[in-house]
Amino acid sequence: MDITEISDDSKRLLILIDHFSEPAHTREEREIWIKKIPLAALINRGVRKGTFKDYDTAPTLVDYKGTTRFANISKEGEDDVADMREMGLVERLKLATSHHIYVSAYRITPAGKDTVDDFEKKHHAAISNMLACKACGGEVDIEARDDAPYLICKECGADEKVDIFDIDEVPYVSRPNFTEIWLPLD
Amino acid sequence: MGVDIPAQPSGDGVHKHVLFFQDLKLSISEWVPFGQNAISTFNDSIDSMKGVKSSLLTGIVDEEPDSSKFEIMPMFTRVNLKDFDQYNWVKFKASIEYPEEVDQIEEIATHVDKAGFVNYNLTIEEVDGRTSKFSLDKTSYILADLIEDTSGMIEALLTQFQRRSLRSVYGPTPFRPKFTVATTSALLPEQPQAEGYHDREDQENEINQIVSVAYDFFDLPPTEKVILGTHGIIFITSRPEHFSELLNFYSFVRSLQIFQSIFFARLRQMWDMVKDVRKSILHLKKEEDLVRMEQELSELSSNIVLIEELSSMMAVSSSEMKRIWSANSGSLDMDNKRLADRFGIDREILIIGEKIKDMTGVAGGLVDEIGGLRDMVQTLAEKRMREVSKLMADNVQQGSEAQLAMAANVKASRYSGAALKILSAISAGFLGMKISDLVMKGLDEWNESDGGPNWDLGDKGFYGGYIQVIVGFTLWILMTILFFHLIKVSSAKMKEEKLAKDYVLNLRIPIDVRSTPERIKAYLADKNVTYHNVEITGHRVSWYHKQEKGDDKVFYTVTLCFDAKDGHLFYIHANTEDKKGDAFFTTEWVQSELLTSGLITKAQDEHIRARMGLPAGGGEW
Ligand SMILES: [Zn+2]
Repeated sequence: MDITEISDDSKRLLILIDHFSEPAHTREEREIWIKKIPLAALINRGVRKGTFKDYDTAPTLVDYKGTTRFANISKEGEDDVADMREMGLVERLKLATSHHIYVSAYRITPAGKDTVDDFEKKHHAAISNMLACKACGGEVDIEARDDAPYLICKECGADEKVDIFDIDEVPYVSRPNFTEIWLPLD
Repeated sequence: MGVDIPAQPSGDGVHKHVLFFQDLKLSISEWVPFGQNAISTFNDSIDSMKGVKSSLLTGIVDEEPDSSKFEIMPMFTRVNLKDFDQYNWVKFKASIEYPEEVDQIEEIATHVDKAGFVNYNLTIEEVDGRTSKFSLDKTSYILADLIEDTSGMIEALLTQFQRRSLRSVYGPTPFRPKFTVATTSALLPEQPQAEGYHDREDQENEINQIVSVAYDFFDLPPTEKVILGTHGIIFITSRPEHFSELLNFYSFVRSLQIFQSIFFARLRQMWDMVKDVRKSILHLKKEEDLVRMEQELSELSSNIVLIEELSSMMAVSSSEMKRIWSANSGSLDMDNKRLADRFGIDREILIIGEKIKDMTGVAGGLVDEIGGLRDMVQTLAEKRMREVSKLMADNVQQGSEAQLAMAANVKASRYSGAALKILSAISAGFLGMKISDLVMKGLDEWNESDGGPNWDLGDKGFYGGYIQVIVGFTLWILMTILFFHLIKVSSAKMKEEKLAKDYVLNLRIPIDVRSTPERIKAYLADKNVTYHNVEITGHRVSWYHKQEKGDDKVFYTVTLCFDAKDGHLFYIHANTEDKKGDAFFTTEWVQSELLTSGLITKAQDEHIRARMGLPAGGGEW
């Protein structure tokens, strides 16, 4: 595959997925997958920090810990993950949760790992920078807590909330609009 | 609704704006269990009959405060009546007022009818200071706001039953998914054909922010363009009134479908809980587990009541939908007819009806299943208790004849009658479930695989899951019937052989009499109680009893079940394996004991005997 065809944002996204997932090489090894909302939270942080240049976020209904909520999700990020699945760089797993909503989890493939190694240093640096702890500069991990996902520093333990559920308000003016509706009969 | 709150600087400031609505009308729809009674109650609560035009209502009567994880801000819904029909529908302007905010907030045209169709409609006049060319990106924030606010708004107008029903399906959340129709005269920059917006890139991403997942882009020549998604439509037209009836009706169809899919997910979840209980029964370890199971099952039972009620309301709504459609579809003009055909409304209505039938079946199966499990838990509790009293007997009366008799009794009863039935039912159901699970898993993988049908609308995997549940459920029922039958045949044989050798009497005397706690206490005072258990169903107390019959003595284990608070006697179990202890003899001494201790009256004694089909006491049998 020609990696020049992959956009910068996609490259960074794949590096990010690589940070948080791991394929097993033998039967005994455990695989690590990252679930959709924590991944979306990381992408959201990347959008806010300018790591992803062409991504945008918008309120989307999601299921978080059994409850439906609006979250700021990047459609572009979602699209790129789908594209990379088609390219065989990312694998998706669908899990039925105890609340019976399906959640997706993602993992980099061995081919994806090879591809990541070929990406320019600046993209790796951008993701490392994005994942650096505010307090000590150490690497962070992501944890889904009840109210929101949090970044937890692996070095110093400092935590930082990722505000994906904080939806911006857009001011608007409207007026009621009664339209014709067929009414039920007696 | 954000009018008075300036936009928070989000820290990124790099929102892309690719597409714009020239102008915008928003219609948001959902299905809420209403029905004729609820409409009538609702009309009463807004005093529509008395000509009162404006009322303020609040939905903050939280009867389950600890179950609501998310705090709903205290708010009031102001209702300005426009028009109504006492039993069928009501139209009003509604707005939310937060107590701490003085300013009047946006008003929304609201329609509610007995078929459960709830529609919120408004014309957007200004977004972020602009009076036209509203960005789709910003609109998606307004929509998120509206979807949440309208949920809270209508909540204030519902009965407790409706609120509980919604909660049983959605959980404690103010975010209920809805179906949106965004109507505009032009989607800018304009494309000659709707297909032109289908770019799998920036345009489509913004469109998906409005309609969730756009799956059909089509034109209605000469002027209309339509983008159809899983949770909404973008309708481009210069004559919105011309299509409003059809679009509103289609919104009704889609809203009910959205509700159905979530409802079905809830049914699946309940099946899983039932499976868990079933498993715990098989691996029962402690007495407390039985109590916990009883609690879980009673919670499931109360939820299933709501679920059943909801499926019958959906059925009513679906037939209302059919009636409305057949009353109106004939008079549609050519443009509307073409649109209706493209939406496939005829077919969707049929499918809705079919699905509801299936769901009613599944819900009914759940009711039976939960009832069956409750019986099992109950019987297991009794069986468990007998075993424990036997163990205690081992310690107390080492080597005595009575102990031998009791041990034999317990052993015999374990292989005869109820216990065996229960164990076989559990293992049959469990095995059947396991097999249908495997088949369902196979279906899942087939669906996910490239060769499979890939039913996947959005994230809920609804159509795939739906078919799997039906298939799995049918398989499970078939397997269970098959296994149960097999086990029954073999156990009947075993039982025949057993009965030839052993005599076991497990007599249950249904007392069901209100006495007093003091009398029960006095009655038990001279019993040598070997086992005492407090459960949510009441107290169970067991002791050994020797009853003289001629020169012999008949040994019994006796269990009394009662409510210690109000002194209600539920029943007495008298078990023996001595042939001399027949049902008549046993009833006779038990009843006379109760009578002499003053726990029951003469009249009650006769009543109990009559219920057991026995002649009045005191005579020679
Ligand atoms: Zn740190």
